[in-house]
Amino acid sequence: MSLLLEARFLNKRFSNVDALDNVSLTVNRREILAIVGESGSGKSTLLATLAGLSPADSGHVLYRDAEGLHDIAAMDEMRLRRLQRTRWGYIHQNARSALRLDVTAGGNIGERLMMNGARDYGEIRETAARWLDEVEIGRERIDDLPMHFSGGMLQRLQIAATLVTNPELIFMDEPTTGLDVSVQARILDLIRTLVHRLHVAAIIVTHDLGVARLLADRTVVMQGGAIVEQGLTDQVLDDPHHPYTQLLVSSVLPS
Amino acid sequence: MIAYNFAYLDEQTKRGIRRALLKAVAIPGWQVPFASREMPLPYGWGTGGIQVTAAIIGQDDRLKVIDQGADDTTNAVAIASFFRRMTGVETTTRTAEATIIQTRHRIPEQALTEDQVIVYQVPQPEPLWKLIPERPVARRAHALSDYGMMYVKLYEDITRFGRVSSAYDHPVMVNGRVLMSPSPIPAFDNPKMDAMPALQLFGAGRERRLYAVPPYTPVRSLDFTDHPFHPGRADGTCAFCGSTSSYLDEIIIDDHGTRRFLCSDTDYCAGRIEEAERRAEEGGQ
Amino acid sequence: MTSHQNGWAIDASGLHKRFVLHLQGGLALDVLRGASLRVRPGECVALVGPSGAGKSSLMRALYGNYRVDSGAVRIHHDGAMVDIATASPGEILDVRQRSLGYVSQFLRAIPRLSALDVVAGSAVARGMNLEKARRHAAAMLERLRISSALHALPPVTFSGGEQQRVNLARSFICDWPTLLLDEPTASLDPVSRDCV
Repeated sequence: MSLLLEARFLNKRFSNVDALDNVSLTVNRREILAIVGESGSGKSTLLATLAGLSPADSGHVLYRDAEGLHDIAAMDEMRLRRLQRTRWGYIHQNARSALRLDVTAGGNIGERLMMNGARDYGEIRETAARWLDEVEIGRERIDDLPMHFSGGMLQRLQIAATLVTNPELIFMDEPTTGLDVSVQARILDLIRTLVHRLHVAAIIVTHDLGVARLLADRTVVMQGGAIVEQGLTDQVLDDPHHPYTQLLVSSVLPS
Repeated sequence: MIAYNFAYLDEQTKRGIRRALLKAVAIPGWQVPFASREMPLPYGWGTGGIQVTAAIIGQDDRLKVIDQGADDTTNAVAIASFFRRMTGVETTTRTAEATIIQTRHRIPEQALTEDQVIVYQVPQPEPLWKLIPERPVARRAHALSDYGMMYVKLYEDITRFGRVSSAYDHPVMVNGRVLMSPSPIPAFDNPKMDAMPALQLFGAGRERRLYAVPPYTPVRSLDFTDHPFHPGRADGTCAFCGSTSSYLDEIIIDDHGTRRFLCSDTDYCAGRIEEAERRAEEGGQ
Repeated sequence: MTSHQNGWAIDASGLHKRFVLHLQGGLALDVLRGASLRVRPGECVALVGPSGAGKSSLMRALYGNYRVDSGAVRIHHDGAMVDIATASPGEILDVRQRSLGYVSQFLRAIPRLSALDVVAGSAVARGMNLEKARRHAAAMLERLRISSALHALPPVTFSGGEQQRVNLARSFICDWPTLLLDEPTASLDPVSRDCV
């Protein structure tokens, strides 16, 4: 397994709260990593820091490409943005705020392509149509405005709009939270299928251990801004060592 | 009578504007802030253009002012007379004779030369303003050359209307780097900006921004490879001079809705008529 | 290590595993105390004992699901022995991907996936193309007496016994050098049990 992203000793304070407390972790190519913990544990802060959206007070986030390791804090903004829009992707919990609701579904999917220099309308449109089929919205909706889409469809549109550039790493912040349970399963299945088929690595923040269980190869558990336990997902969930992990696992309602 | 400085503005102000203009020329298409002054006419009537003209005009210049292509409209006449009074320089309606052409919403039909400067009056300098309401965010997009959303708008235009060009103010990419508003000129005029021998200066008084396109700079209208930019023109013939290639205004001439087309560029139209008359005379002799 | 012929498929020794239940005031449970197990390739070994004897715990320790406190779990993988107890997560995943299968008592799958795709998915994950995997999956489900009428339905709607057989089919569809089966017939009727 080859390293794709590495965090070293990340620290961040909000007033007098440790949002990140000496956090180190690695993500390998094609690997799905779950970050679990309850709200306020620092997992969303960690995700935003790893994705280069919010800098840490100290520590480093290193990204590896063909040329070697790069500290994202040292990258110029243009390069970081290009990285975020081509080889990385970010899937927000709230698709409504991440998408342009007054732009057609095709335009939303095409945006990342056009940002990256696609200038052939027909090709952009065909790619968008293919992705609409892929995420089970259907190409016939290509000229519809997403403001009329259901929550699940919006999330699927966001996934299509993100994966359209074939990223190698996607960051997902509670991608199924707030959706109906029946819709959640469908989205999880979609994410799992696409992530495996496209060989993309993913970091998923979730408070739902079931999501981690279904999707993640490895899981890290956060409490109070610190990683208290990590390992293979089944190890962490079936054989939790840390008191907090045991509490989380024992708090899950049996299905 | 109060004695005004040459070209109305004081020397310090003109110097400030010239410094901003130099910066604008150095980064083609880039919007440079400047300390826009109160002028003796309201915003929206060309205060930006007037300040630019005032900063660059000299004793030996000859000024032409047009509004929508015409030399004889209120705005054009008022600005021309303002400069005559404030500088004593000659004004002209002949495109070829002018050294400075201040314009609102048109580029003359006759090709401009290296010896000329064209000054555009700009109401809204920010090409992204409809897409990004927050100015700092838009400036950042320019800094990072991050124009994907502009193409999204074009994509939507094609999807909804089947074509790429807006009728006017169609955004252009200057020198392959900066997205620029050409000011509300018709799309028909966009190609004239590309590699123009004359220096092009743009002034937005209310928005306090200047920008520039140096001579011979590549200026491309945004489009898609399979939906190329198409400069629009009314399919008609000028009722006065018979031109079939110039930009035309459509005029309703009676209560029955009878339409006629006339050249928007009055000097061009008059020139063609004179030329035709001269030929007719020569032919007659 | 010795060569494959006279080597072991599983060579586990001195396994200790203690659960510390922090929520029960630090209650400690010793579930494995010096357990050792060796299995040759081709051999079928049954673990027998009363409930609570540690059979499942040992199986899970062999699979790397439970992290042992001491001892070594060496699994034959790629012509060498890999110690699951000290291997990195990536190595463990690789061993699980190619050398070590595991069937638990319970089926865990994404809720809306059809039984056919749940089974086919495990072959696809190991490199088979989807069409072929689906054909194999259908055959395997038939063999385990899951009628084709059920193949398109998600297994969550199935009975416990059916779910368990889907779970088995999922493992049987691949050729595992080493396969761990934890109570594979626990909730099966006698006919199904014999079939398995």
